[in-house]
Amino acid sequence: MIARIVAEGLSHRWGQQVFVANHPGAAGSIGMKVAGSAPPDGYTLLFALSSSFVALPEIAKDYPYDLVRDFVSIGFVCEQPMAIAVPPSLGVNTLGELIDYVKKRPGEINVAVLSRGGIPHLTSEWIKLAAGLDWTSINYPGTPAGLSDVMGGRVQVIMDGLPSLAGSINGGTAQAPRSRLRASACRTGRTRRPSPKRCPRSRARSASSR
Amino acid sequence: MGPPGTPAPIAAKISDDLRAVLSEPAHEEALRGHRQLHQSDVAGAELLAYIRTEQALWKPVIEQISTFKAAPK
Repeated sequence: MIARIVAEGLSHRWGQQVFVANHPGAAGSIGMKVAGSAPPDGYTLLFALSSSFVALPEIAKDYPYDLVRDFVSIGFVCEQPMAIAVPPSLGVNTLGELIDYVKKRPGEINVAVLSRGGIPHLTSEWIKLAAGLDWTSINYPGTPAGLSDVMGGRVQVIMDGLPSLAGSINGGTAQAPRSRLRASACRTGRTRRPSPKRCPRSRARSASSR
Repeated sequence: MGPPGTPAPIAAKISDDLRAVLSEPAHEEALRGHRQLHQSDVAGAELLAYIRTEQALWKPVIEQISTFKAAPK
């Protein structure tokens, strides 16, 4: 979605259509391979997600491309906050309450995260380590599938970028049409970001900010 | 990011245009509508430094994820 906003602006500025070709999966390695083998003429660019340069170099050390080493830096578009959400039936309203809830149920809690090696996955593992939790990250191919399992009670927690969860947090969307999620915590960052009205900002917690 | 070997003048031109697009009110608004933090002033060496900072931030976490350790290389 963000790439399309940028492409639209560049199309207008350049007077020619800029197309977005999605090549998702494998922590960004598929898209990076496509862009990496393209002619270096400015007609093909890589809209890299952070998983391309955060997880990929660590989990695929023999991957032919290294974003920092091989690609040419052009610009930074944006970063997004990470959100943690749970169904209201869980009865937790803050990150602290969620941590307490999980600690009382070691090994029982599953967390829906997007693809293996993505930032939501890493965030789940980070909180697990930082707070000493015993929960399991479950990789999903997309947010709707994760939300469906959260609302169905098969998974208790979901982590994703705030834009992906904001609709459900704020009151129900096509992703979770009959239910509303309650934001347990939002990751803080360098700059205050616009937040959903039901999304308290966590702070002063070991696993809440960087 | 440009593919390996992208000439510096081409990268600079695209970088300038990207920065201009992101500073347009309509696009700022569009990004904020998706609750993204918009930063348009990072490019070149500063962008690479940002990437390295993120890598250093997450490396200790990645190293402790057991499923990554077990993954075939």
